[in-house]
Amino acid sequence: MHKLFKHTVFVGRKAFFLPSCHSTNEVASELLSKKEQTNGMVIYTDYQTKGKGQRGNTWESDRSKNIMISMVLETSFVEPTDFFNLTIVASLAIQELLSEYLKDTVKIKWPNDLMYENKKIGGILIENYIRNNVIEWCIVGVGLNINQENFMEKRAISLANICGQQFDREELTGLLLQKVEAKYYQLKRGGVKQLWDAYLARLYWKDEIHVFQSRGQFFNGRIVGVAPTGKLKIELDEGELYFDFKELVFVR
Amino acid sequence: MKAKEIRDLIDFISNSGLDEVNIETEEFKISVKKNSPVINTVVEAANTAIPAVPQATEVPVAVSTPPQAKVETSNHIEIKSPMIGTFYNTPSPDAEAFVNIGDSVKVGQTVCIIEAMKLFNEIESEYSGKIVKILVENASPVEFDQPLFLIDPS
Repeated sequence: MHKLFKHTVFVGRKAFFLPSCHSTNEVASELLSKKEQTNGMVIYTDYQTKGKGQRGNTWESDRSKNIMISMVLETSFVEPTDFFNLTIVASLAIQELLSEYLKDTVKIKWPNDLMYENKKIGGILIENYIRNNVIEWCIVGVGLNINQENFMEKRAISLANICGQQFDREELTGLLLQKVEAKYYQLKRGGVKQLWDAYLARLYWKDEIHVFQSRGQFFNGRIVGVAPTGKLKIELDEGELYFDFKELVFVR
Repeated sequence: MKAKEIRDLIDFISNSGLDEVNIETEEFKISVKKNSPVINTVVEAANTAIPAVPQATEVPVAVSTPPQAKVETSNHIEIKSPMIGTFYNTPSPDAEAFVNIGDSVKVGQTVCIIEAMKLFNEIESEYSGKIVKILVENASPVEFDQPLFLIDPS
């Protein structure tokens, strides 16, 4: 995976491939702290020794099987309170990428996990750098299960598991960069409403009744939307409530 | 809202460093003022049905910065939260704090992380100076525009 990615305007035109690294997001943020970033710069690897998930969580992946990439985007046109637009850009780009292989069966589990049926095929970790009240830089870290066949985690699945064949990771990565770039331009050119509509239309469990848990209580509810703050809007018997990521568990 | 929830809310507000908080939803309206002789809470039960999971409603919170704090610290600059989220003073749970009281910070230096909906925001200082006060506890929720640090720019 050393070839240049040539089908984009800026995303991936500068690319660093590391056979192994602790975490591509970490490498990207180190480059940022040294002011060595460029818009669209990407860092990708075959193996992460300390892959990052959510704060304190890890992302595991076999060597040379999957896609682990971080993209650095200049996002000073995004205000901090509109941060969820970046979650939407990243989620939709990956959902569209996977849809090329899996039609529209891939859903986005709020806020930004990629699900095939009830299993996770990909995840996103976004880290922003805020200064002077704008999001100056955004690091979009993506982990996608491509050719790995066996997982320790029961609720993980790969493209190879679903399709029964191996995939060319470089081709997929190149396509991913194109998708991210297209969504980035859509956001920059004022396509916020269309992005939100597309995101909501692809939301996992949307408009279906499911069991959730919050603050120790189980309840039935139906996902009906997402607030501008990114909170998930669930309709319960008693009315609609908004949930923060930390206070909600998807049960069944 | 239950009495205990109201008490918890008042405790939270009184520990938050905010002077006055007004919360209004369809079910209730609550107004809490600190440093006044009486704490006034007005609960208007428009709808007595208590949701299965209270407190999860999205409530707009009107925040006014404490005028008293401004007098005391007229030479100090506040670094405020650019968004609603959770405040972290370390890059990862087991790491050392970005900044401590007494540390000098430069423009562009990361002072904290605000996490919102699984997205991590490194907040860089807009000012150079010395950290005089850290106004928020690690891992606690913060509102938009809530002061996080006091900086002595001299």
